[in-house]
Amino acid sequence: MDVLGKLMLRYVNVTKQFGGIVAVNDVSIHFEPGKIYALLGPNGSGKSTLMKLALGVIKPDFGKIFVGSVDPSTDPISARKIVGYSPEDVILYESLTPAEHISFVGSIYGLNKKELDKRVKMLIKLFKMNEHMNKLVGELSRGNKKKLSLILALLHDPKILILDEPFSGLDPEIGRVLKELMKKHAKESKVVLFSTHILELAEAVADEIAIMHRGKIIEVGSKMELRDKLQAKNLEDVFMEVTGLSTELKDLLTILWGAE
Amino acid sequence: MTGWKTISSILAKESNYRLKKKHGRKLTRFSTTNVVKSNFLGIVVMSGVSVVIIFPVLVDVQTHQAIPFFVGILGLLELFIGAFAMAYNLHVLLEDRLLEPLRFLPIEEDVVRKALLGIVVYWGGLSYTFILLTPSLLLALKFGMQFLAWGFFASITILLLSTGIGYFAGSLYTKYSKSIAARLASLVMWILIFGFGLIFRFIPKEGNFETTTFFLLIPPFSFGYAMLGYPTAYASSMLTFIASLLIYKYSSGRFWKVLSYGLVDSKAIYRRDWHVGFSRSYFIKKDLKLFSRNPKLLASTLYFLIVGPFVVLLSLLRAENLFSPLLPALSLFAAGVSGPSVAYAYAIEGSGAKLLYFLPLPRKILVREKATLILLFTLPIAILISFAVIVANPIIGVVTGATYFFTSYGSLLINSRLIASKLPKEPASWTEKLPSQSFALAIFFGEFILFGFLAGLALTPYVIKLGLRNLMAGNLPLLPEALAVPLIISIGVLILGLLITSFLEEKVGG
Repeated sequence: MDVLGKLMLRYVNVTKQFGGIVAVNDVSIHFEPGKIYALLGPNGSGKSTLMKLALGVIKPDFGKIFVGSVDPSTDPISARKIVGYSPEDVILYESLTPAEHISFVGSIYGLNKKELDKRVKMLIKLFKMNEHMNKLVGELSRGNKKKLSLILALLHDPKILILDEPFSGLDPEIGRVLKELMKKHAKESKVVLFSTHILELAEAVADEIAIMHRGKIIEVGSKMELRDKLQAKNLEDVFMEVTGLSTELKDLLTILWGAE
Repeated sequence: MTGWKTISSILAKESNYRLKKKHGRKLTRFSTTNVVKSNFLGIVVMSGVSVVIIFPVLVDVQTHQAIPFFVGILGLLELFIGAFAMAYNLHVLLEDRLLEPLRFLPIEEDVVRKALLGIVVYWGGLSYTFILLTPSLLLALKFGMQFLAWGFFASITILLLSTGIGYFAGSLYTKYSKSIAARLASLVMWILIFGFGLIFRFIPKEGNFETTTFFLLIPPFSFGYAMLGYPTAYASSMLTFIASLLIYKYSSGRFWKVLSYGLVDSKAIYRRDWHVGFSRSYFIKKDLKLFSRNPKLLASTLYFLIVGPFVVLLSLLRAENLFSPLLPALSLFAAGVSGPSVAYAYAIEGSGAKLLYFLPLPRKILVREKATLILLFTLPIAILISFAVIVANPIIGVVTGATYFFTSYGSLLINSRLIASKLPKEPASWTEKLPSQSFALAIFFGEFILFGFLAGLALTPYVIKLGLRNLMAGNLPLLPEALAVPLIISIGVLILGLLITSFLEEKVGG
């Protein structure tokens, strides 16, 4: 579905199970263009699964997903042309160079050299990858691999940008660059969705935060809306409250410090 | 402290889990972590084959002196199968990064060395020893216990040697090196391993096999002579055991060191200027680059594509009919059965295959690109065959080359389509274990029969005209219809390949 001609990412009653474990449980949510969304949740809450569903890599057991007007479970190729995705664990060919990766991914997207030369040069400069372009990926540090994975996700100037834990492994300078890039994309009326389990990151970058726990979206709103709704001091309190982790945390801290 | 048995069983379980995850079902020898279960089928097959080979000695006591010849043949067979299997094991170890978590643990090198041998046993390596063990047991029942003792000794020695050769080649993997010299060294090593099977052609026939000092000293024949009580052979066999042990120790240690320090070429200097190209054909270019940086898979592909067809062609032809009009039909068969080699084009993706799941790459394109990639390797063979035959007879040359080319592309497309249907639905590495062994065997034998039948069909004009008996005789007359039939069949194979790759639906993971 489109909003004023802009593409939107929509999940309608989506459920996905893996061997009896419900990874995504009856999720209905939409992500509008022009905003940065943070998918916040503890490890194993279903964030990555929700993201992969948008690419048609996995099929929902129930419900529908719309990438614009495309259903990725029936037309994954069209969905992948719209979405730019960077996975949590980088997936790259260890015996290819970053330059070769860009050429390969560019050719899959059918990108034209003339129109993209400038964009590629900009991305390489922004992510400070210039001196690593002829090295084999197997020789790169984790941070540089992550940067390349982000460059590949941004290569075709996607209308929907989905980044799974994009800040892990990045140094503060590049982390800042990425934040600005995400803001620029949102400003250009594109959908930006990223996942994190770090509350400060969600608070600092996102316009809207969706809190996910045990496969369900339990709260959605801006930082202010969430704080006001739960009368909490900060996002951490909100998160602990809605996920019900505050009692669990107390028990854990008792184990650590004893019942002082 | 973690023992080698624990490590090898964990590695076997991990590999089993990953393969199950990829395929979504139980799999052959990888599907169990029980040594007996994972080797059982192999033991039955290896024992069966070896008993058939040694049968003449068992039934006729007069052939007792030929025992060293048979033991030698069986030993070479164990060495060949063992080294060949190691190529596959290494791909799984390296691509699935099974040893990665061990790198940062305080594990002694000696423990790792034993664990590396243990994993080979878990993956069916134990069954290869039965190539010598079972016949030795039968010989022992007939001639005395020393036959079993030396057979056991020989089988363990060869297991150590084949595993050692495999790990040495693995340590030359040079995965992250752009050094052409290092890659060439590795390529030569792998070609030698895969080409080892050709050694059987140079062994003298049983009747010509004499007790010479040469064979007394040469393993694995020396183990056979040791069974018969030759003291020189005792010494040679003992030395072979010590050498095999040292080779294994050095190779597995080297392999582990290469992995521990990372597969990075720290001395490499890189150009600062870079170039990005956006051509539509970059998919194939990417695969060619991956092949050039993976000597083991390149060697497998070259071996499968070149040695296979040439052995088939040359074994069917004699000097007097080398340029006979039968060549188009034979090339149809050789090109057809080389189609399953397209599996290497998928295996070359390795762990990078996961990236393809997130890109807008239609399955139809993937299937065709993979077939076209292997066709690039086949093309020089078609040209070579054509030129060689054109010298003798231009018409036969052109028809043979064209038949080879069309059949090869058609067969590659058909096989590519079959393999694509068996790819994991969710992001996973693609290794040489894709497709599964049983599926690969079914394809291979199915196509062997199919293309055998088609080649037979291509020969019908000669059979009708001359009769079956005169077919392989030299100086066959050149019948125009006999040239047209294989060409038409090969075009048919190509059309079939193009058709079945045209209707491919996009599958979304489960």
